[in-house]
Amino acid sequence: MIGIYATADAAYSAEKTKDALLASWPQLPAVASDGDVLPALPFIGGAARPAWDDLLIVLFGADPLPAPLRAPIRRELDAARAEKRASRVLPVSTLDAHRQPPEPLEEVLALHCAEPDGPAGERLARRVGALLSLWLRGDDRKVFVSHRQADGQPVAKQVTAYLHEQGYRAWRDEERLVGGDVVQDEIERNIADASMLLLLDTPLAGESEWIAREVDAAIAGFVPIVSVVLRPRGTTGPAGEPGVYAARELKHHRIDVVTDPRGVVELLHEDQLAEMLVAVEGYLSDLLRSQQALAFKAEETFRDAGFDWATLDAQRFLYAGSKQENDWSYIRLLSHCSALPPSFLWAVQALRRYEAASADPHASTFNHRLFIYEPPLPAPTLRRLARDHEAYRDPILRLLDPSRLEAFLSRYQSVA
Amino acid sequence: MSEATLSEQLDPDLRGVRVGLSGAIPEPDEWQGRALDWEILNAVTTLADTVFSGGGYLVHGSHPSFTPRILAQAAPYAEERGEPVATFVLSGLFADSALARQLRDPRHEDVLNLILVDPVIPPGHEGHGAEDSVVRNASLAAMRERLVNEMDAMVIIGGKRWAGSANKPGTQEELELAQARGIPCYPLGGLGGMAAELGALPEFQESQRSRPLTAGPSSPQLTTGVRGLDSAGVGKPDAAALSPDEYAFVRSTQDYGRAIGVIAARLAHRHSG
Repeated sequence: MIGIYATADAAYSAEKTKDALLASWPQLPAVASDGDVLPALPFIGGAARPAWDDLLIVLFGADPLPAPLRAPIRRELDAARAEKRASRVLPVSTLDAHRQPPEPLEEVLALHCAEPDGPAGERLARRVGALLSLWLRGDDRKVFVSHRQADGQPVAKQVTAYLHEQGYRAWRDEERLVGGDVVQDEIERNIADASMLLLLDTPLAGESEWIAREVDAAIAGFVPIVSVVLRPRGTTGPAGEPGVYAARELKHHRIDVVTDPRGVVELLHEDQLAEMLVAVEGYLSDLLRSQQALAFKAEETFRDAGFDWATLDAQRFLYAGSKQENDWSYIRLLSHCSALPPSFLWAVQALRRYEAASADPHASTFNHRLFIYEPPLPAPTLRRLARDHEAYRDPILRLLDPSRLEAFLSRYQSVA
Repeated sequence: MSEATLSEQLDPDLRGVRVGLSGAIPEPDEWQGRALDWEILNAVTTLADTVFSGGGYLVHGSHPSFTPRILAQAAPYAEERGEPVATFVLSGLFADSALARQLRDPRHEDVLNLILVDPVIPPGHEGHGAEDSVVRNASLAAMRERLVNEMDAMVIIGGKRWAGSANKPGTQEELELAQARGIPCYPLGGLGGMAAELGALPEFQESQRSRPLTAGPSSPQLTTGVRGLDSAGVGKPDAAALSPDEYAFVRSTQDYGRAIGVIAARLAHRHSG
């Protein structure tokens, strides 16, 4: 749930901001509130852990936050710090002359959005999409910046610092060779930690074995990649194309740069950095749309197989598929459409623990609990998980990807 | 207690079937607000898993973005089955590339078979540089012919259209070779690219309906390892063909996972029929 709170002097923009968000994210519920009341979000001031789409946007002018609202927001900031996650509060300034968030948000980076129905509103919607895309995958905002030292070290340092300023936990690594060979373990460790890989495709990047391995590891490890192709202005032909072979057809964005006499890419201007951020956040927003589609696909498969489909908790992608098999038998399948693979044990445990709230005892009884995810984990990996964790041996738990869902549902045929 | 996962219990029996994967990630102007590269890589992973889990083999022309995903999916199956489960075909033009080094990496030795196809140097051309378009096209054509000869069926995912370019789309060329061999071809159209374009062509739809199942004389390997095909390479008529409804679904749906399930079921019909 996205909550929008506005201080008294920013209240005029609350509805416009909500409209701007809904235009980009019509499927995401959003509520607006102001005055002395925060939107009702369980994670604000409560004990609940935030769900993937929980976010409080605080629109502010020059007024302070009302005193009663500071404590719950501070509790969320403290909880985020203790749990080493990003806080779910995004301050947004509405006045050109006043960018500093009110207490207790003064340490949190604020976006600026004086006109929500213009480009600034689109930027806010992109930021929201990018954050939710990362949270949906269970990740924080960790961006690994892959670069070639020979011609990209200064710009990589600059980009890393810029992403930090924008609230992303960005880092980079230096190429290290042992006996002339790249260190595969080192690469895989970095990639395993990353929520996404930002590839700085400088003119010499395509020649780097190290970068090629980083990109390969990211593709293999389901880490999203955005490539920023940095080329001297006027570069055309093959030299102007993406140089890192494995990333050539992946999402990329060209930025014209200046190189020094040694061929080293010079630092980007502020507007070029902003352009890069648009590419990154735009891609993450697109990724969110693609990932949200899983529930719609599952619903269609269930309905085509003759099942009814009811939403139990849209925020957690929990649904009930039900079908009358015959006079005696009624099938109910609890389905969770997960953006995470079942190797995330906590995601599987959450499905196992879920209890549907209903006065009808039959409504909370299920034949199976389906963990629907994509793409599939290899069967030997699933077997290893089952050996290592008792949770996977749950008698009613079923792990399925969409390629097997139709075959699974076909087991439940209606008897005329 | 059975160790088989639910997926394995549900998967069609594809033992011995060599499923080809053709395709690429379409040009960005086709993405239209989708992370199409992400979706296509997921579709590739899903196809690979379905094939490996069903006991089959994946045959692929070493697309640089697809390859790492296929290798990651193949490794646990190869270890368990004690044999390589994927075949990668690569033109010798790229024998020294990072991609070739990746495929030759000792970590993948037991996971894949690598077929390097010699470059073709037409008269009047020297060297084997990939930068010479005549050499490149001739060499890639030779590579594709070998590639398609390794397949019993072809699934097409995405594919670049090369609009406004003199380059012939590789996906289209591979499809034509596959059709000439008379092997079943399945375009997943919901992910755009050449697969959408080819799948919508009336002549392609017609050819799929009337496709002979007899292997051509130039494809003696078709019968290798494929149950349900007799020694002359003759399968059950139309056993692998999609019904009109299935075809309409496969060529248009964005639910690539479900479409792959439909294709695999058809391949198993042919396989066991």
